[in-house]
Amino acid sequence: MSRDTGKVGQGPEEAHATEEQQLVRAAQHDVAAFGPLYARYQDRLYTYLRTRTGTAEDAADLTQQVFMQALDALPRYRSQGVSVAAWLFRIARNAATDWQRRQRPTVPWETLPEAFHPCAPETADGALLQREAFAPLYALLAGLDASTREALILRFTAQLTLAEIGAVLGKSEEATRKQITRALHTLKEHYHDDTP
Amino acid sequence: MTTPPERYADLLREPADTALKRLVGALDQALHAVPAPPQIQAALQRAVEQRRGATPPDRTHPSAGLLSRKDALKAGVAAAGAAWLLALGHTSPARADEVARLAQEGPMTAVRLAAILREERARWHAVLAAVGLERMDVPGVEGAWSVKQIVAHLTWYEGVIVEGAQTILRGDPFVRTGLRALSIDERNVILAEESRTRPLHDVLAESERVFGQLLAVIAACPDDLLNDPRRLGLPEDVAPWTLVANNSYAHYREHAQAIRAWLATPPVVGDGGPGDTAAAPARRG
Repeated sequence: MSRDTGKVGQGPEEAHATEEQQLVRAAQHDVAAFGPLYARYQDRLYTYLRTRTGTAEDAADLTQQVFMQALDALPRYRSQGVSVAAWLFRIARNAATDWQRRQRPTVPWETLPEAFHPCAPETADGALLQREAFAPLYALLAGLDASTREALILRFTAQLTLAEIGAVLGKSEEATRKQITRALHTLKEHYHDDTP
Repeated sequence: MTTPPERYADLLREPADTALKRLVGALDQALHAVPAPPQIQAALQRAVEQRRGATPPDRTHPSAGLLSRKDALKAGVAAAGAAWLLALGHTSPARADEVARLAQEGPMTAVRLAAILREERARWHAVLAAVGLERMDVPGVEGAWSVKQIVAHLTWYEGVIVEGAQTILRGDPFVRTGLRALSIDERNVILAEESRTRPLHDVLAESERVFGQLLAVIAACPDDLLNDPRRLGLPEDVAPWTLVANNSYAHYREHAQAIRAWLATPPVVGDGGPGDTAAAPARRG
């Protein structure tokens, strides 16, 4: 897996923001330049949407829809304090909410391990091992409320900063920090890592 | 113990809290993103190419998005254009129900309309795929028309919406010339005849190009222009975006119905010549 451990949430944030704004301006000028933005966010958006839909097919459809919507909205995008990441995930969140309204009210949270370790034929064994290794953690996550789980997914999967998560969820950065900190402390009480 | 990456420093303000470090490290591994399927990128690439082939409206034009402050003459011009576009199609009960349902979900936005258009376009492509390229020239699918002629017919109406919207956005005079000056029946007969001998690939390529232009012009429309009938001098219950719907995806649906019926009809010996078929559809619909 090519994991993006890029600059979100680390390094000089201003430089990162400037770089992203340049990517956006290039794409606004010529849609062909949308590629780098897509490459940067495709995996994170797809995985986030897997946690919202529960199936790979629906997540793929929604991811495509989100990027199409972003492409449509790109000419009107203005930073105004909202990063590209927060903008994209806000589109994704709205798309997922609309989708869930049309489908079923909730996604069974038991699908969570499959979302992060899908059993593709070529990696089935490894995925299974990973899922088993983190099974206790997934069980703990399943006990959290949906809003808190979503905040954690946006932090650990989407790699958004606390401010960006706040922008996606419609909260302040401080409120987001409190929510995530509280969740981590709750999980910490019950999580026992036996690995050396 | 799993050591959490530096990027979680904002969550690890107490260096001595090793349990928290372990948890954050584990969450980092357990919740990492998985690769997106490659078909998403392929679809996006097609969309980008489609747009590059389209001619986007000039968004720097001073009148773009500023129709509300146009003078009475310009408003009259826009109204005349919109009223004529309205006359292009009709609203069936099913269509009216759908519009009412969509309206309940809030005002139409350019992004939402584009998403609907794409979804419906995919359905239309599925119908065409069921026909197959080798059968697109076979006459008698709907009246005397072949699927190729139906595609050309749909493209013309969609193209009028594209040009009409671009004209309205620019605030230019809306002029009815050529086929637009004819009655619906006269126009449809000419369109069918013109497209009968056109190469299939040419008809299909034009269809995709015009759809790309439609998406581009919708993206340039301010949301209030899509929703407020007064902006275009339309009747109060006719939202401008429904003109787009009526002459694009609602139009596909109508003809898709005829194509599906044709596909479902078993072939009959001796049937298949254009002379064996009924007359072409009398009206656009």
